[in-house]
Amino acid sequence: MAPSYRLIDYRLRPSKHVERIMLCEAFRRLQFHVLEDYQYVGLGSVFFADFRLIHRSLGISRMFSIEKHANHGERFEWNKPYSGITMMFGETEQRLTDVDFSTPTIIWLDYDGPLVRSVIGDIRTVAHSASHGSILVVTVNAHPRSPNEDGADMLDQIRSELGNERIPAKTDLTSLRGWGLANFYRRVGNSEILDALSTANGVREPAERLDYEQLFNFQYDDGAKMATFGGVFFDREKRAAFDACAFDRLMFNRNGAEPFRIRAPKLTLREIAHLERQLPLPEGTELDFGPMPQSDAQHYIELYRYLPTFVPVDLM
Amino acid sequence: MAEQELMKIKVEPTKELFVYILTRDISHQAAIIELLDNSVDGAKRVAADATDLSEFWVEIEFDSEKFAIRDNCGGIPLQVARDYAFRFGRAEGMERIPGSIGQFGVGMKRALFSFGRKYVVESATVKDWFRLAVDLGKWMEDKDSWDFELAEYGENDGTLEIGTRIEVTDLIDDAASQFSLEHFRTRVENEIRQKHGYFIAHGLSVRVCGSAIPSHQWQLIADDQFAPEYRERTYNGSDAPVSTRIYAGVGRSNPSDAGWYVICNGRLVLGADKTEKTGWGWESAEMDAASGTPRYHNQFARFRGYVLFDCDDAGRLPWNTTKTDIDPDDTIWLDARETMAGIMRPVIDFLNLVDSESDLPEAERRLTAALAAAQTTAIADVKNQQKFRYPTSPRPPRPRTVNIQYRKEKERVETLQEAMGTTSARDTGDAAFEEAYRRHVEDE
Repeated sequence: MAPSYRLIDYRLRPSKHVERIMLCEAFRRLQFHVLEDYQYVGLGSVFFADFRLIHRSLGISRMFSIEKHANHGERFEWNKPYSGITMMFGETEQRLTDVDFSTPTIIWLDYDGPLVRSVIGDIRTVAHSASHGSILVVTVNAHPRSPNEDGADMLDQIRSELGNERIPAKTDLTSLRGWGLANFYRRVGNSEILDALSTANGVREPAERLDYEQLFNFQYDDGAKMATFGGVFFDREKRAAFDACAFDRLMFNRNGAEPFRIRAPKLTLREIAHLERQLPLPEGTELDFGPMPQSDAQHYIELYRYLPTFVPVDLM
Repeated sequence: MAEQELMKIKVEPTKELFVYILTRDISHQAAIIELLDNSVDGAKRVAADATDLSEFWVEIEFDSEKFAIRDNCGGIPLQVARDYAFRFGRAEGMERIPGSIGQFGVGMKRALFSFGRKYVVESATVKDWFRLAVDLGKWMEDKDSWDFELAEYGENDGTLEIGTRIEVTDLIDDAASQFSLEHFRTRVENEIRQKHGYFIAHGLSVRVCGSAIPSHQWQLIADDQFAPEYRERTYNGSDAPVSTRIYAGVGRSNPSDAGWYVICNGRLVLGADKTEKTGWGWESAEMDAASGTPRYHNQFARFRGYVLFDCDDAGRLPWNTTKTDIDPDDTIWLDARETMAGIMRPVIDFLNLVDSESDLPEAERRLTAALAAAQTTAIADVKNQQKFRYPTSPRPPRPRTVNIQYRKEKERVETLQEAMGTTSARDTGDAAFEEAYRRHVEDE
């Protein structure tokens, strides 16, 4: 398969755009350290959309982009929007070990592919080394699959990719259809995070142990079903700092199995303008939908603060 | 030389040895499996027909505070509790349960010690009942007595439900942290599904933290085109003969399922083994050499082999004390293993043949296509001893071919692939050859 950045302009995916802005809004609430002291690690591709947003809205300048397509190295270096970004060429499983996780870190492992063993290895590496106040976000492709040429159905394929021992005994093919694979990936990813953290805590003094709280459980479909999950690591004894972040006040915050599904509404500019004039809606008032489909309008008012106004423009 | 005073060396085992050292031999996961073994033995003992366990259930629950296992599998007789279950080591003259899977009499204590410090064991049979409460801290302080005090017991007047309940509290730190993880629970579920799959398939109901473990049957591809190898043999030489059944063939392609499975009295001891232990990589290190057996490689991801040992005397079965592995020096095992290595060979040859089809255009990969369409069957339904068989319809004669192989940077191959509209590196290489042939040969 060609690298995905050759196929799609990442900026044009509306749900992805919403997700990026929501993540940023959550990061802005971090109370464990001064935001500027964080480093950001991402898989920036050539567009660096997440890097631009994180730098501009959070003021983080120490940034690392892991990139496996090293043979286009020059192009990546050339496209770097800021000098604070260091390119790290290679596979994530090799380069993650070079990241200094003792620095507070926001890391977004935004993969194109499904949850496989190497991704689990990456997740475990981060969960095992994360320090107080750090954020881990993982995005994987969770689109249901057809049987392959060997006749292996989706469940067989997933068993091969993840190992039988990671598949809960009750998992069946039906439970993986539709958004099922996305739910399943979040569940497996989350249990790996907790297990790797528990292993790390096992050799820490009680006062040095960390807790993990899930903050994100996004699902969206810009052409393929995607799952994003993640959360924050913090000193067990500093739970008050976690509470002070008030992540639970964010309407997209999800700390369990129930996802927040991003549905980008399909409305005309005129319809959008009509809705926005009424927002935020004063309590007790009814929204005037006009002739537009109610479900799209509902999705719009849920997401309007995070949606691109029309085409996202990069201001260089 | 001055006469030295005789020195006495204490060789008595200490309680610390049992509590801190023996428990290291076993993982929490394996300890739970051992407790389940006890329940299964109980069910086998009281079942009218050992192949129908549908009236029996076991419930296992654990979290960061406690561990509990509850069953209705007949209960522990008072005499067994007194003379055996809570003694250290198996008592001489202890009557054995024919075909049992719990043999060594250390399982329960070792499991309980490795989980926590306070235990309650309650049990009732049709005849009698008891309740045993142990505080390990207090027991360790008492340097003289090794006895657990069985203070509460009596006859079952018919009002008590038959079965056993074990609860452990005051958990040891690492048990408490593992028991609270979903990761651990998933592993336990899978291990039970594999190791006790046979009993679950025969009706036993097992729940872990409220969720029922589905049955799992060992399967092989068997239909009108494919037949697995199947051999039986009985080893006498004792009043309890050991019977073996060996199956080998192919299944669905999955590296985590491939390999040999060793099953003793229905209990899986070794699963998906791909090591020398079960005959892989003997004599020849070459994957496709004609003699010996190759080391495991993913082209054998369809290999499945099952060896079942059954014996009324569990002590004659080739397993280790934790039932987590085979006993590598057991003579019956060594003999069976020779047979296994022999019957692996035709399956390996077949899988090499299938692998070589990947050089052919898709339409000509007959074995691959036949495998993808083939049906699997539970090994229990393979009744007759037979040889491994696969479809051998002759291929139409084709012009002689050679392989061309070359390496190019992935990035450039993908770019070319995109430009040519091909769908794989193989097709791209193929199309590139045709293109070159047309330009340099046909157009000349």
